[in-house]
Amino acid sequence: MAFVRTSGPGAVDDLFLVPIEGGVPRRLTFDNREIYGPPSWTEDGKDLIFSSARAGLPSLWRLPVAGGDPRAVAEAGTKRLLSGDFNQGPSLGLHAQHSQQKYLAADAEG
Amino acid sequence: MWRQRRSLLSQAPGKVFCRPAGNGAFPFTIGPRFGSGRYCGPVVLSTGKGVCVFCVGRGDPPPDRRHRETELAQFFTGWQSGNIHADQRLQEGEWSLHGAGRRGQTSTADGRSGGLLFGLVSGWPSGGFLPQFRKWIRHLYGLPLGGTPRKLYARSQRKLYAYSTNRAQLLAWSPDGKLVAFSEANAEGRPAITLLSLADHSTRHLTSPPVEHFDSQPAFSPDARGWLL
Repeated sequence: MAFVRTSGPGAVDDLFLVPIEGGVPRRLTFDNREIYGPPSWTEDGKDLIFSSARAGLPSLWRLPVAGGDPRAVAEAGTKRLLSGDFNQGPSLGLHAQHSQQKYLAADAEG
Repeated sequence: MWRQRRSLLSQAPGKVFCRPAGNGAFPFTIGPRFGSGRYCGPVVLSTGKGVCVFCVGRGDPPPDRRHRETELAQFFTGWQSGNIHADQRLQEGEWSLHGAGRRGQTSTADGRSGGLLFGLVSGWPSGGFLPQFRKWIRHLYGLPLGGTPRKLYARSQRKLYAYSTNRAQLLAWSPDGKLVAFSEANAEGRPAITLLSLADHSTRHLTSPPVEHFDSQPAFSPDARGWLL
């Protein structure tokens, strides 16, 4: 299971991984950037997709759980996105801006 | 399955808006006005055949959500709407804004296929430990397809945590339908990833966040299975 660990009061986040039977969580990101919403798994379970403003504007990022650095999902564009569930069909993101609520899709193959 | 879901969602004021999979281009924008007095919650993916969005509410929304309730424009073609059975359980000031959907290929703990989970949030304390945690979930409901909602979990104390407005999806449902994950305060008062067994409603904390840390936003991996104690 993946989850977000936040440290306060500055509220910075990193992604962690823990077996559902329990154990010591493994840290996946190390840069203390804010993460918007829960991560989503790709269908093959190899990558996590998450939303974060790592390179300026918030966008979707793809992270291999086996290790490595996150890379931007190019198709998602540079908008504030909450990634949806990539396991169940079209991948989605939530874009909340001012008075509008938009649901955007991004290609998990990015 | 799709028709079945539509038929079970039948009472105002709560609404679920669903869109069949494969209908329409991406990206897309949904709207419009889902209705005055409603807050549209996070994306809820249901049975793998579509996508649903919660829109539930009664009374005035919390101030930081008010902007979302009335100005959603342009209803997306192909979306269907239905109402959530559970509106009678909503109390004044409670908001359903955290949900999780699950595919219908396997049975849930109560023998039904697929369904939705949602939590009712109430209360808006100020300050305190980690000001981001300004609300909490008091009740967790399951809404099985073809059935009526039932309360799965409740806390009278303020222990089930939600997060700030842009962290909408709090609940996660395991791929086999047996577990629900969320964030709940542990014995030290720090929000930890917690697993709820839908079979016997037992819970256990999966993580132990360090001092001044908290864990939230759980996401099951595709191969996560069962109740492993």
